[in-house]
Amino acid sequence: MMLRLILKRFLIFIPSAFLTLSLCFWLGQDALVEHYISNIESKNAERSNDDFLIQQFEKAYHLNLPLYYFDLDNQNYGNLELQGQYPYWERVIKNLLYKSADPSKVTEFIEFIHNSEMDISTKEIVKSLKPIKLENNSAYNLTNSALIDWYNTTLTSHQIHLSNYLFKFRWNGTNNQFHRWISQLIQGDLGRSIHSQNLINDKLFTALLNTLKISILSLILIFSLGLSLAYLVFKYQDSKIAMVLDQFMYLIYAIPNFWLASILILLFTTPQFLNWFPAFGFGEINETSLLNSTIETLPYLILPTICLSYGALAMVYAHALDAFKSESEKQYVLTARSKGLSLYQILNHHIFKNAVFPIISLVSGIFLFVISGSFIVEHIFAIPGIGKLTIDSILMRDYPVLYALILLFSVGAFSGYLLSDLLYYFFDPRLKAQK
Amino acid sequence: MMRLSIIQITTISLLFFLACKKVNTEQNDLRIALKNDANSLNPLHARGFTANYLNMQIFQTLAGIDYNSLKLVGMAAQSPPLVSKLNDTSWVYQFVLRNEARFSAELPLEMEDVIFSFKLVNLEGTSYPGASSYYQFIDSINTSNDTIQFFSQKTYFLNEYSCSDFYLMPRKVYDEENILENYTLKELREFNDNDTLISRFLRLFNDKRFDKNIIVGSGPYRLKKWNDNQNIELERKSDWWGKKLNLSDNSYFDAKTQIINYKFIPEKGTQIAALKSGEIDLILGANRTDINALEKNGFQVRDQLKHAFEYVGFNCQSEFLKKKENRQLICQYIDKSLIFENVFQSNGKIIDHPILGQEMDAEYIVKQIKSPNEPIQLDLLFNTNDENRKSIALLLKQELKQHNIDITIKGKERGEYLKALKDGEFDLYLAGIQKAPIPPDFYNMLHSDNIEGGRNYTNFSSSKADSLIESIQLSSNEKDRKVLYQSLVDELIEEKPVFILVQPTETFVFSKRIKAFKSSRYRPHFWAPTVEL
Repeated sequence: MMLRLILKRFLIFIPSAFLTLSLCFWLGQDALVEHYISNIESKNAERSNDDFLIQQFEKAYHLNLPLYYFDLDNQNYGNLELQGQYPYWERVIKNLLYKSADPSKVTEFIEFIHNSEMDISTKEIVKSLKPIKLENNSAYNLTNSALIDWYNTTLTSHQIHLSNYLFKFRWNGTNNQFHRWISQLIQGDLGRSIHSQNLINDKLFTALLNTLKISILSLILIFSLGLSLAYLVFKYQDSKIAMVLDQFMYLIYAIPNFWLASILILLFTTPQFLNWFPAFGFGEINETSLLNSTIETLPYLILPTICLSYGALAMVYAHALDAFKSESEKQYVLTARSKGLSLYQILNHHIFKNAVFPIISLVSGIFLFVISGSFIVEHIFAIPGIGKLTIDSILMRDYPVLYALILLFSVGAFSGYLLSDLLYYFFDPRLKAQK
Repeated sequence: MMRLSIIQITTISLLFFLACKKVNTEQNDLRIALKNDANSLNPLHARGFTANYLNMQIFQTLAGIDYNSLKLVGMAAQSPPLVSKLNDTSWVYQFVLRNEARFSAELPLEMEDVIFSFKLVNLEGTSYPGASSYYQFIDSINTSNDTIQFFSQKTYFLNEYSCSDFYLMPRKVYDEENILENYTLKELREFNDNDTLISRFLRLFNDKRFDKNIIVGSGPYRLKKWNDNQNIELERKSDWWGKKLNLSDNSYFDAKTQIINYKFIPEKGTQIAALKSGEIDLILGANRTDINALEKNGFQVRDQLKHAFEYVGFNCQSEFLKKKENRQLICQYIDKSLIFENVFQSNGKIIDHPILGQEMDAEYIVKQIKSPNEPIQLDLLFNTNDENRKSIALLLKQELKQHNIDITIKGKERGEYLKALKDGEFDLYLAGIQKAPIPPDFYNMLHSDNIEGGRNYTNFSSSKADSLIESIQLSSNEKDRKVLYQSLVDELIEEKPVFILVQPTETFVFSKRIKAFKSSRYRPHFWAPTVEL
């Protein structure tokens, strides 16, 4: 039964991950091309080797291939001969096609731009979709002025072409960018980062390891402390300490984590106050054994763990306490009390087992949250984890790394839901009985 | 459950208190906080400040700008190049290589390494985009005994800096198969990527080994340890050849610090906390309030004027700003002292012209142009990565509003900001320029050749300015150049494509462990090897 459950979840996971990755890839690739190419241009003042670098980039990322297994473009683009041949000019092609609805003329113009000795600044003008001003000394002027006139006229055209609104479906088969990427992925190759050219496997593994060091501690803290505190507050609910603790837990839920992180650093790492813990990073671990290296790293983990877990801890506490209270009002508890059992016995043997279900439903969300790390916590404590890697990749437009991270988050979400289901199966005898 | 809860709470509390451990703060290394990790320690793959700064400590060039004197001094070469004119347009730049120069005890620095290194920076596919165009003016290179000669057909006033400025890398390590020996400079510049031999070389060279594991330079430091995104440790070579020369007045031969530990801490508040707790010795830049508080707590503070300036640029092709009178109008209402006091907290210097480090006559006579009768709408573009520019934008909006000029502020993230600059989607923009302390060349920034698709974002076109910029490029005499610079400044003041605001400072805060600290106008405004503990 458990195996069937795992298999069922896995079978649902595969298509959802595939769809998620497809969508991200579809949105990301165009942006990748635009960003990287404009990055080459902005850094290369004389731009003498732009074409070469762009060609290298196009080759490395197979940008000449279709993007996906199928295309749904307007009829004009569908009839274009040079689809995918000039990814650098894609935006210009689509724009001219839309305005002119003349695929053959667009093909002629783009081939002329690409193959001619046209100077770089004029190519820049075309890339920006601005009119070309013909100079007297331009070599291309004499032979292709008609083509340039056509370009200039098309730019300012506002004619509506019905063919722009008729769509054409084209099946590309497996020879496409996405299929290449996913095939490599299945073989365990996530590719290379555009920014640093490092293997993404290495980057991801290092970042994940760093995040996991804090995440595992956080998960233990959240569930063990959350449930324990809820239990104690429920048991001693009439006492003043319980009331104070209850209010305190709701208060900490409202605290923003960037503020808490700054306060913890001020209180616990500076000589003016307690100076108990280091301020940042993981330190330099000299021990080789796992146990000793974990003990050495522990001082560095405490403050980030507190920052990462306090919000979820308060949430687990609140849910658990509510669950205990609502269970305690049920009929079976009254029956147990009338039979002579103490509250302590009822709590341990009956209420707790029933109250745990709302907590289990939180497991998937909390699991994903701690696995994906928190950018704010990692940024403030200088921890090179998954959260920091995500934000850095977004800012640097390092899309191959982002695709890998999205896959990781999908796997994290799947693992969280699976863990939830398995815990339900473990705690709920009715599910076992269904076998 | 009760017992379990108590055990759990007790265990967690115990763990918390047992984990309290003070980090050993009395160490032998110099610990410097930087914001970001290096992407690579291969000089040709290095991008960003950290990578380039660390490479300067591991690798050497033939000559470089000294951090103390700000003059060109010899590094692997005995001195800056001897510049000779062959004819009206041809020049030769001659270096003499130091006999003592070595990469390691077993690996001397030889002529083949110089030639290999120069070929490397001219080969597309290894270089950082744009690097190869930097050396295009060199037509050929010749070596004999210990002399290296670079030949150029182009007269350019910065040639001697450019031809000194490429990292020397050992051929035997980075090109084991000696592939590049088969190619001339011209062939490498024009190579076809179908050439299998070059493609093989590129594949081998671009392997990640050379970014992290195999890093061999002739500089005083070697890579000791690299924890990704945490820290990089450089260790001074015990048998470094430069130590025997005793050239302590040359900053590149003054390597005092045994170990330099660069720690990557992106958040400024955390850097300050680490400085206070003794985990870090030196931080670069901080909020003035924090700096004052640190100074009161016994930390040392040093302010250094940067070789940089902040400015407002105008789009000289936009409807309102294509007339110079309108640009002058806006400039007359910008209160530089307000910006200087509020944004830069009076740190730095208010300046009127972009020729840093030189006295120029830059008095602008206000022509009392009347404010427009109708409200004028203008877009101001700035880069949101820079907090100062956001403040400047808000101040400008407030000031110009009083004179019937309505500014719409458009803050964009860096990539989008550069794109918007290129596409001319603005009327005004805020920017800064940071340069080496060498005579400036304004060709990229202000020449009309660079309007379409270049870096002349102001779209400024003036035949007079163009002619002056070209003459400066061709001038080899400092006195003549100064006269040309003055004429250029006069033209810029009249035409106002840009309005120069402030020369900012870099502030260093360091602990008492540091006994001697020298700052410099040359970026990053300090040379870590000369810091004394």
